[in-house]
Amino acid sequence: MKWIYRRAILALLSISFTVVLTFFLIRLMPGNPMDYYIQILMRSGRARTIEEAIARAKSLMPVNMNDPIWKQLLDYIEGVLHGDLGRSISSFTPVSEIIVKSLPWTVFISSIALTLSFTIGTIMGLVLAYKRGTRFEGFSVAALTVFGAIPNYIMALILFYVLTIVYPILPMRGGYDSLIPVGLTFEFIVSVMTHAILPVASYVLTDFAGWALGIRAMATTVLGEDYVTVAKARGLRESRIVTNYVGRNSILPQFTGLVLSIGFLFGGSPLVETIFTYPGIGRFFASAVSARDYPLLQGLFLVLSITVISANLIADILYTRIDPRVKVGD
Amino acid sequence: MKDGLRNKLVVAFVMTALAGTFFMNLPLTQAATKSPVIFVYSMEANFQPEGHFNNYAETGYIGHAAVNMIDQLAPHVLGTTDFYPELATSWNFVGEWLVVKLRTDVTWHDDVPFNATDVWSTFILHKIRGYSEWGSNIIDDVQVVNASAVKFHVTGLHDLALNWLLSAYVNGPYHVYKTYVDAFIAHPDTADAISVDLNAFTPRSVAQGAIGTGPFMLSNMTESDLWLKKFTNFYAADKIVIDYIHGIKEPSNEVGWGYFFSNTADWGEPFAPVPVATVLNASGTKVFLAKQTRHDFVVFNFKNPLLAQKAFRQAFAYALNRTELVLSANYPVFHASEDIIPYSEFYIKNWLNTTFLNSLNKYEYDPDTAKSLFGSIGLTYNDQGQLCYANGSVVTLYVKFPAPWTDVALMMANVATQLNRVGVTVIPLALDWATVDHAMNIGDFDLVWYTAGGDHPYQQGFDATNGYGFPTYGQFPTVITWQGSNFNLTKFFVDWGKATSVAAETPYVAKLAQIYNDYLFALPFSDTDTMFYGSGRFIYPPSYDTAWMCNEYARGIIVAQLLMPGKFQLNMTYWTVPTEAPAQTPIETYIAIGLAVVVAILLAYIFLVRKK
Repeated sequence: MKWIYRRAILALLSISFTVVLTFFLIRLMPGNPMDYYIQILMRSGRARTIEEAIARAKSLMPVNMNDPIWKQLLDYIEGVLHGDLGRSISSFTPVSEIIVKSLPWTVFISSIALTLSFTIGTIMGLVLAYKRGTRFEGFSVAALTVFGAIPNYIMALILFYVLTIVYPILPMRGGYDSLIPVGLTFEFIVSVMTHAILPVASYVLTDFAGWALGIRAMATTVLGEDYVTVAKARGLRESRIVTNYVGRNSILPQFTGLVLSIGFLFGGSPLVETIFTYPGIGRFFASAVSARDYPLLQGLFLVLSITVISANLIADILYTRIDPRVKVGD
Repeated sequence: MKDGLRNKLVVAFVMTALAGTFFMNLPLTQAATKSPVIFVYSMEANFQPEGHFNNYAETGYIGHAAVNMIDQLAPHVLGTTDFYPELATSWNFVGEWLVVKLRTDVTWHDDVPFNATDVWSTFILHKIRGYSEWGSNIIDDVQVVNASAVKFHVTGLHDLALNWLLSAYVNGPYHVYKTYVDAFIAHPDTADAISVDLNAFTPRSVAQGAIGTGPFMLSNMTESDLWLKKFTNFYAADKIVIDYIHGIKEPSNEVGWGYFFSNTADWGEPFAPVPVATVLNASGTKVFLAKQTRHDFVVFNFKNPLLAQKAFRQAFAYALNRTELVLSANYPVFHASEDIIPYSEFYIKNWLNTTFLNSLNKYEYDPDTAKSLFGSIGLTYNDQGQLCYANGSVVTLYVKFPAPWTDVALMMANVATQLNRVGVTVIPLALDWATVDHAMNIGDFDLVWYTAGGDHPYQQGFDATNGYGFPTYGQFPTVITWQGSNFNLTKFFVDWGKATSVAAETPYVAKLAQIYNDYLFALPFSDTDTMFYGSGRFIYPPSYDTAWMCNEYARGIIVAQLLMPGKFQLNMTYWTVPTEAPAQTPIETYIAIGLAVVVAILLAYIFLVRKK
């Protein structure tokens, strides 16, 4: 147990360090939210003079914007400890409200995508390992390499073009049909599911290949082990050999990757969510970076830091349970 | 194949077929029903929190379609000195007071009657926010005369005041914003705090959040969609032929065009080239292109000794083929600037006649003249044909521009290409918006792209010479050498600011045009003709009752008007407004088919795998 406590404390320290580091990093980006917003007002013609633009932009900025940087950091840490992440400069909405509203959408599509890509990839990898040396394997590995090399936002654009413009059979944008009242109705749930298809497909079609190639490599090694040969000699069914003998022993590295991926579920993809105007957290990442929205960026990085570092911790803990060979000393 | 396996496969296929047949028997089409007329408008937007709308929140830009919710007092008619009556019926100067009389048959979207207090309230909200008419000393007071008249005390150019005041949108209903307006009247020194509070005010219902008197009212707003519905009490409601405007948010121009060409949107912004040309060329259309509503410039950093020399800037202008430059953007609304004057056609037809404009140097593409001008300031060419300083070092300039605007990026990359041809080494840097803005602010550039919408020449010139509106370090010097002597631009604008009529302003406009043309503070290379687009400009006033639909921001409505039966028909499928809902496959059918497939897979698994 002491080991777990130590790891938990280390995780807390890592989160704190990340929060402080990101606080400074985002301020090292060229520009600042005030200048950016003034230019937006001037360019768009929404403000006719610079004085007007300055006055309007000023009303959005945090009150401590002109304080020394160390004081801004202390204010931020104090706010975080009190559960106050500040207000977004872009929308003047509390950052916590943005996170609470957008996070479920991202987790929804990301978790489905991760589950599907992991499952499909794992099954496919095992099959490929079992069919090693065949033409099927050669063709499949080539195809997987290609799919794995495509960034998810390129896949998103392809899917957007093919399935919403050329063959308009799926919704183009949004999390649900804006005409359907929000609620736990069949109609709304169906709408949510159909709107999730393209974002999920963008992730799955580019991610499953990595899982498949990973487990194929492991399973190929395992297949050469004596106990597999013995199992075959005993006349066990192939399905049992694949699942119980090969699959189980190949899955450990996959499992580590899976748990680590869970941490990134909470970050979303800025580009994919932007392409489909999906109301998730990734879209806010994209807009917050563009607008130099410091409070929102800090809040989003805080969430991402907590989830990724927590996932690492959980992976460490679970690994000791799954693989009896892994021992932790006090 | 083994017999057993074959049998199992047959069973699986039969089961799949049975399940599929069962589910496919569900009705594949819905009964066609009468549908409301919906106009779908794709737009750049950044919505406020879901379901909320507050016109005085300094957040959220809900796109041009939303402007159908509000009216102006009297929009400016582009290229003239005229204004067209909308909420105002007349306007007259009485001494220093501008008296505006209002319509009496207008109501807000919550059916509260509109009156002069609402106009007063709107301008008080402008004052809280620091809007230009107050900040630039155009007015210093606004008062209610009676329920249907309001007056403004004008302290600046009458001409400019008319434009800013009459073209203002009236969107601050007193009964909605009473708390903030009253608080400011009681404590004017708290404007900054009230301004912050205004950002957080989020009306949640139409009754609380009546934001307009226009033909459409807010119905629903999500992160990606805006729904407006017809306001049945609008004073010209009988002219409205559509029931809903559905504004769909486009994350980029390219995606917006995707909406358009997949028939998801009836119209959108920015406009795809083909429909623009079709609309303009169709017979009977009353829509036309607004000329020169935006100008793209190359701005020079005057801190760079080379760029501070007029001869170098002029050589720069001769070295650029502006036609090639705008063609590189592959977007037909851009056209090469004909005159090196950055100002819009705001009143220009009155002020600068064709003869005068023709007398100005047009800086036609002439690389030889460019090279000789380079030579005139001591620059030479090395063996590789690169332009060099007298000490032999290569002249190298960095040009910065925003990567997210692909048309601008293409044009500025072309600037580099063309200047390289005359030996100037130009390195293009495509950056994100905030970085470009930052570079402009701190003067970290040699050349930078900039754009400006058309505005009153006085205001643009005044701002530019005072370091406003133009990037810092790219602003006009306040004193220049012109026609052999020092010319004080600050004094020039002070004198101009005393004019109270168009006639009195005319000589100033002419002189500014001459100075600008000769001195080349910046190089305008592209004028944008924009359909129903600009920054507060009126496009076309066919009649009083349809004035609302001709405002440039109400372009969605203009296009909707084109759909009126018998008025205008375009031979394009995406202009067709269906009167009946198209037959659709209900989503349940897809689910049923999906379930059938799942059942089939399960059965196949049971028969083929488990039993083995």
